Amino acid sequence: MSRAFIARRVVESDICIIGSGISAAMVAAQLAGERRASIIVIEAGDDQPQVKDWAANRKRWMDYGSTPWPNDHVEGLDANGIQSRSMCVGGMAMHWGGVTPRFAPEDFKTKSLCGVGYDWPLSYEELEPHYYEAEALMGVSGEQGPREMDPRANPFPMPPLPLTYNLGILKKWVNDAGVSMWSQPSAKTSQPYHGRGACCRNDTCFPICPVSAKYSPDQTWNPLRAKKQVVMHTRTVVRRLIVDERSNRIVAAVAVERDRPGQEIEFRAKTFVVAAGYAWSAHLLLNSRSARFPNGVANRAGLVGKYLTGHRNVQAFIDLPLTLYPGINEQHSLVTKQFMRKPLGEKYLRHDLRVWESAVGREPRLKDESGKPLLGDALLADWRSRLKTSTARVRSYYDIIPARDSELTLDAAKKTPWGDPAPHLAFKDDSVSRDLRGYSEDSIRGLFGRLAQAGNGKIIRTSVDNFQDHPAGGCRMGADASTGVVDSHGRAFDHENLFVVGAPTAVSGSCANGTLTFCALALRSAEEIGKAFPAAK
Amino acid sequence: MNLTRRVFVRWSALTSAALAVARRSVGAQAKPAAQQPGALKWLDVPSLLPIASVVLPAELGAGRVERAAIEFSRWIANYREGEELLHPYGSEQISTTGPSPATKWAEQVRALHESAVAKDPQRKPFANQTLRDRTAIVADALASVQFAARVPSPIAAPHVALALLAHFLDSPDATNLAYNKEINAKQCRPLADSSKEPVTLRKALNGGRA
Repeated sequence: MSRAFIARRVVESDICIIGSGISAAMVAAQLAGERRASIIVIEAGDDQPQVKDWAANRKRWMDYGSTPWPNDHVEGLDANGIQSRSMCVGGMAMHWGGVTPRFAPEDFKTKSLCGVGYDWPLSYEELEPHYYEAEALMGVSGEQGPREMDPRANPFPMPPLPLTYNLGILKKWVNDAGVSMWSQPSAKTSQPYHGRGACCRNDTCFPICPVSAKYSPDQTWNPLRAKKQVVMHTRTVVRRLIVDERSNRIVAAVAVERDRPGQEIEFRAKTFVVAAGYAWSAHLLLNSRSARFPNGVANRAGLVGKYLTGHRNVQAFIDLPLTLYPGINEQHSLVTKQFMRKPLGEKYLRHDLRVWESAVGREPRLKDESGKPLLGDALLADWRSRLKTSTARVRSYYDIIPARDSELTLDAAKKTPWGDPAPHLAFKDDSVSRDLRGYSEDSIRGLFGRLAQAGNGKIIRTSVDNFQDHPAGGCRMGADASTGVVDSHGRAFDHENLFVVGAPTAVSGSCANGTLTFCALALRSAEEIGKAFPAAK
Repeated sequence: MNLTRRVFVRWSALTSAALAVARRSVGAQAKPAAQQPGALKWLDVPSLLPIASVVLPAELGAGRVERAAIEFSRWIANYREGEELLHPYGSEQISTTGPSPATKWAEQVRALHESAVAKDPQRKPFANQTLRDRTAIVADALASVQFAARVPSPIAAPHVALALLAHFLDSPDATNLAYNKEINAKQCRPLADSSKEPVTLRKALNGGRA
């Protein structure tokens, strides 16, 4: 045994949360508020700048493209196929866009309703209360859509972000084309909310809101840490989970401090919550190999790392004979769920639709068509000549059924700084989605074309992103151990005191931004986790 | 610059190439452009203002033209080499800002001045020449560099005159001027006002110092 192992430090708690992203923040907030339990949070990354620095950081980003989130990643902890290097206190949600649609009820039962994909082991109705909890915790402003498309038990915590002058005009255009749209629900304050001021349209929600009108997990962590309701260990990388030989319970998370790489820490707890996102959660379970569990923990059925999921998008810019003023509040949009229900008798296609103002095609230019340079007044006159019509950006995410081998594996050829195999991610469509890809994208382009035609406009350009956005899965939930890594509460089938929460547990990625759903799932898990601990006074 | 997350992915890919961005090395330190001796000598406001009045629209007014020159000068002075860029979504790559263009741009400003003196029988400096003559000198200089119709990021501009112009065109003032409306993009504005049509640009803007 090495000296490092002899020197291993032990830290004990009731609940050990691994990761400090948005799902971890949800779990910690609920448990700290409702249960008497000591909570430790372990985060591999660093603390991020505090709000007082955000305006200056935003300015440097706008001026030079500099990151407003310095040190939001860990050297050496990258992976082939990963979509973001973010690894810090607050995770990717420090620079998310703050867009919070719910999934549609159909998302949870596509197999039953449409004969494709997989049913979740829980329904929309079971998740609905937790959707609202998440909306209240984050402070969501939203507009009730038509109830048949957008069922809710409670009104949004805040009134909707107002439709801008531009969106008001665009809404009339899409309505005239037969599409019902409304204000995109967002975790941004339309009025003062729990100490946060109202949004004032700085319009840089991604990557940074300088006034904290957009929810970010620091808003949860800072008070929890200040009141010592949680103890956070930053710059600490959990390498593996240790399983008790007899009970199959997880007894420890073994970690290394980045500042003292020679010394391991053993975090012991009654309950372990893996909240490390779609990539690093599955990676930790797979890397927790032992003689008894050669394929890692929670992996009896070989499902850890499988069924990575997300959605692709088709986007277009449409030239319309309208007068818009780009820049009023560019990141806010219209949304509809009209296409999230598969029409009877048609091939499987479910997608959302969002509409934004856009400056594409309206930019100034330095040369005219003949190649003659444009400066000064000539440039301004040329620019104005191209502002007589306007541009709408339209985009649809469409649902993709993940293949079983849409997966995260351990990369034997690439090691972390601590010698563990790095993750390798490869997203793959199930054969159904693969066969339908052309149809799906052509159909959406057809819709865009009809919208353009209805407004006497024309498509400027269309594109399809190749990557799957809002990645999730890898530790998906199932009705039993043969179909999932965890149950509908995120509890591992193989280890009763191990929970995986948030994005990794998603069965499918729907066709809308996933963060709110991941948070609702995490809050549902927290409710279950809390049952093992006494209620707070 | 209007950057949504998705647009940023593409923007970043474009500018990364233009910036000659370096892969981040461990321990790399951001270095202010001002650390380069003499680099800013020709990039002060008095040197830039005669160029600004050539490349910026006269309708902007003298006060706003001066403000654009001041902000561009400040922008160069505050540039830091080796500063980490926002890492793009969809890539594991971490990149940093490239070398400061200050030295190259300062040389270009100096060349404009030397060209003016050389061509003028009275050897008047660039700043003292007529707008028409300065415009001709800048046009000559731009004829020797390659640039596309698309406005580059200022840092990627091949000539200081284009960099100054690009920097201005990226500003709320530029958009306001083009639309003749007070849109004031990316500035703190009351949320409730977003539903209203932006008001027509104040006359003050046309008159100079607003």
